[in-house]
Amino acid sequence: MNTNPTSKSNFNPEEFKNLAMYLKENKNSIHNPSQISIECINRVIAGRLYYSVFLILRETIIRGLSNYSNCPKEISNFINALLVGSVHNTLLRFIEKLRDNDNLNQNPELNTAIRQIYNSLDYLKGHRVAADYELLIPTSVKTNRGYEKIKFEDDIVIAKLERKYDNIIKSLSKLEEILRKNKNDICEILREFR
Amino acid sequence: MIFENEVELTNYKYEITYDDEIIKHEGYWISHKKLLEILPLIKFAEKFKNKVELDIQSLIEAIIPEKYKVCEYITKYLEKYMTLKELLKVEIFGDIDDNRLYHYIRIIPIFESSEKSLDISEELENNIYESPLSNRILVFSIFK
Repeated sequence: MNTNPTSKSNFNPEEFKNLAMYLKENKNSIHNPSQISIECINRVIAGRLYYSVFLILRETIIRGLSNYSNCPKEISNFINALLVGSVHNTLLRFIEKLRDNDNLNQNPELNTAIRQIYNSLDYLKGHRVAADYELLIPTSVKTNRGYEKIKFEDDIVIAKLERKYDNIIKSLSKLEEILRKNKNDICEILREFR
Repeated sequence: MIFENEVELTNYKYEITYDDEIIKHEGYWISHKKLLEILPLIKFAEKFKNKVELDIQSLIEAIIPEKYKVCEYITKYLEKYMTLKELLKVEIFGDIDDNRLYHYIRIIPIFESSEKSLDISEELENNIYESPLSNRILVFSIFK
């Protein structure tokens, strides 16, 4: 599987994952109780894992859509929305539209993969936002109902985020297949995309 | 009155002041039909009352296609995990975004912190998505 969607001249977002793993493996030597806590290191890892997979997903989608010729205006507008503004929500909403489309979800395997991508990205995003913005320890991930307490200093949280990252990477080829085989339906989704 | 019997089975206390269609629950008037849609979850919470916490109000507000079937699917799916000691608690609520455009049923399984719990949580989250009924389900595992 190609997890290196950018060209040689572009930054490879997989490096963010590599950095996260470096931090994880060298945590004890980086850790300095008076300056850099385990909490801090794990928060950085959470953020880098999310951004790595967010950028990989975005590049995969942009690359998949670049082969389309039947709705150039919609593709251009959508790619712009992926690059500027509420880019994180735009990506999640697009995956949601793929998942909910009646024509696209005829293949159970692909549909399951899309649901897993959505849930994994939602999970990583929730932790990334908490890692960067919520200063309380233990901190909280915001849901639409309220807050759920999580402990970044607990390594199990990072292990879980890694699993979510891996789930998305494993499902990338399914996403590519959906983008490749459903051009008309995806153009229709983009025409109605807000 | 099947519904009345069902209510009596639960720990959720309803004021039986309804006339066929509307009942009062914790100060809110709720349509009987909407409550019936989430009945599988209510019964599930009664069965595993020490482990399951429902937010009935948000669950009723969430607009989910085939809601009864989805709730039934959740209960059947989760049942096999409920007796595991690693699973400490499950919170289930309606998750609606600020613009009220995106409606989900959010499941928060709370696990003890261990490698085994991690594996169980992943299995729970990955397999639940094999059914098309899971389109509007989000799972968010937490470790205590």
